[in-house]
Amino acid sequence: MSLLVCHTDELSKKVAGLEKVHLPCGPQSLIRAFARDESFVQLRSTTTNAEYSAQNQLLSLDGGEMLAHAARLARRHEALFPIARPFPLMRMAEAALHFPAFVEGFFSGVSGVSPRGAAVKTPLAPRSAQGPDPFGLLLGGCLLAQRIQLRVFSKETTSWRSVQLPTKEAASLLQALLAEGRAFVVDAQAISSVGVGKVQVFVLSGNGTPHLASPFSEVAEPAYPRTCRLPRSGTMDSSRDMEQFVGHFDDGKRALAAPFMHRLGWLSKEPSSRVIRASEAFAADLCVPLFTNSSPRLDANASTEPAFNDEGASGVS
Amino acid sequence: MTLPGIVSSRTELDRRMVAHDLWPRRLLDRRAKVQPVLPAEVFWPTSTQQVSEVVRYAAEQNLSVVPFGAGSGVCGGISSTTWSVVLDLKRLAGNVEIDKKERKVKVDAGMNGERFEHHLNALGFTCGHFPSSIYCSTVGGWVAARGAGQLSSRYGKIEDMLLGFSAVDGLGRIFNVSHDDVNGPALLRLFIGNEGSLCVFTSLTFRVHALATHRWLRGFSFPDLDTGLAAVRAVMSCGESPSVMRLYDPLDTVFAGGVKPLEEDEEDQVREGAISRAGIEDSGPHHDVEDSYLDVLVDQAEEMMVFRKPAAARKLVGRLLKDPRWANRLLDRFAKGSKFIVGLEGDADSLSSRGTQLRKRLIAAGGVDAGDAPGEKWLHHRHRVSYKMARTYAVGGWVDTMEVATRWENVQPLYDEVRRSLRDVAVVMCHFSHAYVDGCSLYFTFAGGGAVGEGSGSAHERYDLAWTRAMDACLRRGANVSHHHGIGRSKAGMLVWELGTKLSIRALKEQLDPHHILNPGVLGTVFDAEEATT
Repeated sequence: MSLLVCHTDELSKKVAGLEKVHLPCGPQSLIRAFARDESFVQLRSTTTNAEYSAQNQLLSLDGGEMLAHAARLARRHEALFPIARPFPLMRMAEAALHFPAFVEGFFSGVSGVSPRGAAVKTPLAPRSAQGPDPFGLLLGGCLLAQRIQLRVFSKETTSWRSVQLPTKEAASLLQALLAEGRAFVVDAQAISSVGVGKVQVFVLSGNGTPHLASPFSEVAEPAYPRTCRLPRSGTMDSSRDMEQFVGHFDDGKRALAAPFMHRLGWLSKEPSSRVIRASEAFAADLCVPLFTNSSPRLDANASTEPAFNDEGASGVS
Repeated sequence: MTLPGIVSSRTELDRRMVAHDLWPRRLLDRRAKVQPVLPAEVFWPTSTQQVSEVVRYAAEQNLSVVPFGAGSGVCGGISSTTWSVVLDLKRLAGNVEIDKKERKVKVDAGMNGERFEHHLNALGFTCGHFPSSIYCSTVGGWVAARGAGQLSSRYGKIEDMLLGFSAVDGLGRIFNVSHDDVNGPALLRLFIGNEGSLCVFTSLTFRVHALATHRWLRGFSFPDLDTGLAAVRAVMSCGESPSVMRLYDPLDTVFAGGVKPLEEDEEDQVREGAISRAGIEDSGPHHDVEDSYLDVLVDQAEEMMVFRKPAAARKLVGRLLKDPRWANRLLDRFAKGSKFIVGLEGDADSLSSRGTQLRKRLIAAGGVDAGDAPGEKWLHHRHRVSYKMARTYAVGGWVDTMEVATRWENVQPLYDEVRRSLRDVAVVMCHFSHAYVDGCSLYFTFAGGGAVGEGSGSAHERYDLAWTRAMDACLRRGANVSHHHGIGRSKAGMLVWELGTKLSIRALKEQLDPHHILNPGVLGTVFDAEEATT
């Protein structure tokens, strides 16, 4: 069985061949696919197989769903998807790899397989203290997400609000919402069409939150102008420094925050160098940079790596 | 001194003090005069470098290393062997560095939780982590066991607060992880809750929050548990995130002093002082929190029984808990209604409107307003219950707590099933104090009896039976086996690992602790090499 270290952009190319093979989202088929010496397996959703739990406000869907389709599924169930349009042209499993803020804020559970086909499942309940958290494997690129329990928000109890603000005010609002910890989603980025220094801020929060009244306006579905480029990568950010927020907005980054989960990430248009590796041992490889002098800090702007990289092609049996 | 410059001891008393944590099964052992296994030596490092030296020394000597914070764990996460050394980290507590601009604090792992929070409060901040054990736990222990505090609905669990750490692995190597590194989020998730099996935490960086100036606390009464749970879910789904939210089942409502609905409407009261403060004395003036006559009577009766008439107390408790079925039946019959305490923090202006809105929401959900006295009373006594457990042991009973979590549709069925399965073994009560949009934690307290010693009818046997049945019920209902106490040895057999997870974590272990010297025995079979190959 040979496996490749496969950059995301290569995914679609590799998958083209596989798509001719019927490949439902099941671990056995994945294992078989690897046994057939496939280089990569895409989690392609062949049927719309989504379930919505209104009680838990969770949408359970295949990792192979495109983000746009996942949002449509949420809408069909009268629920709000936690990202503004237009959606990155990615499947949920890819978004899990490239946007850690999306995972940290809005994934309640995930089941999947390691790239060699062994099952991985996060605990069934929202939180646990059961040793190392398998979500770390997803965030570290050691797991293909097959099935995801995504937090979506009921239209009955929550709504999107929108406001355009000068950069500093937008940064200040973001800071305040994170400190308060009540809003479910903040999605914000600078938009050129409204002039210099304006930031479009979308906030998803509970109905009847007086502090989000004027100048906010309620919107049915948040959408940036089509001219905005789609994000392709993301990082987490622990800083709550307003000046840094201003800098990120000025650099064209997009904030994706889950204040109720105390998480903030920045999405960027630069391609990501994140990869899914070929064996469970990759979990251990995550630690290698800890004992070297090279800083593992990711600067998405500095990422100039080619979109495709076969250097990790290796024989693993 | 085994290692120059590092304080250590081989005296029996010192080794006895760190031989195990507060796992109730160990307490039953001690009551039955079973001698604990003592470690070979105990070390008190004062720096990360010294921790590294001790680990390297242990590796050379083929000794295992058991990290020890304050020993307040209740799952058997600490259990020595004669070939282990204990790293008592309480002297690694000298540094607290706060970055006000970034809202972060870096603190040594051995610092006591209460001292840590006091330090932050003095600077106008809070970490927001208030476990019942805050007086007798360390910040490193919070992370090692992936804990949660009483204000988790507002500030999250420890994994929502941790932004980075320094640690020492099983080879004595020092390493750092930051939330903002490319693999930071992944590594934080994989290391939090490792219970000392992958590394020894030496320094932690947490998110801090500005200390609120005011609080709004209120009590409500719900006609039954189901209605109360629906109200909790409604509050979480509207994004209110209260600092405190505690729903008691009918029996726990009785033990928590009951709840008396207001006879006349009482206005919302916003009081000075935050809920998220260390120490009771700093929580602002307390009004209407005098103990009821019943509270005082029960306390005095307990004091008298335990300290003045212990033999009579043992006899009485022995009879009461010998067959708990009748006690459960009796309590089921007379314990009605669920008490609910909810609290918000913020500035005076915003709290007033938030409080009014929340009160309306809870009344609409079936709650009856009980004013602010129940909430204030809870604040005043919030850490008290944990220190009452020793009395139960002193009079021949045992008591333990089980905190599990599940999604909303499973909460009531799980509650019913656990209570049903333990009826003939223990008196069972439950409260719900960690709620999320997508589920909730159930915190069971069960108390039983039994003869001293091992064997049929013994306290040991009944204790084990209670846990086996309760855990089976959790697994049947798809619940987690731990929400915030950890796994240790007590739940190790119940932990189900998917193969992929197991292989990945084992790969981490091989990378970080190839000689398997770090806290062997915790987290079940994940590090069992034999199972991996089958």
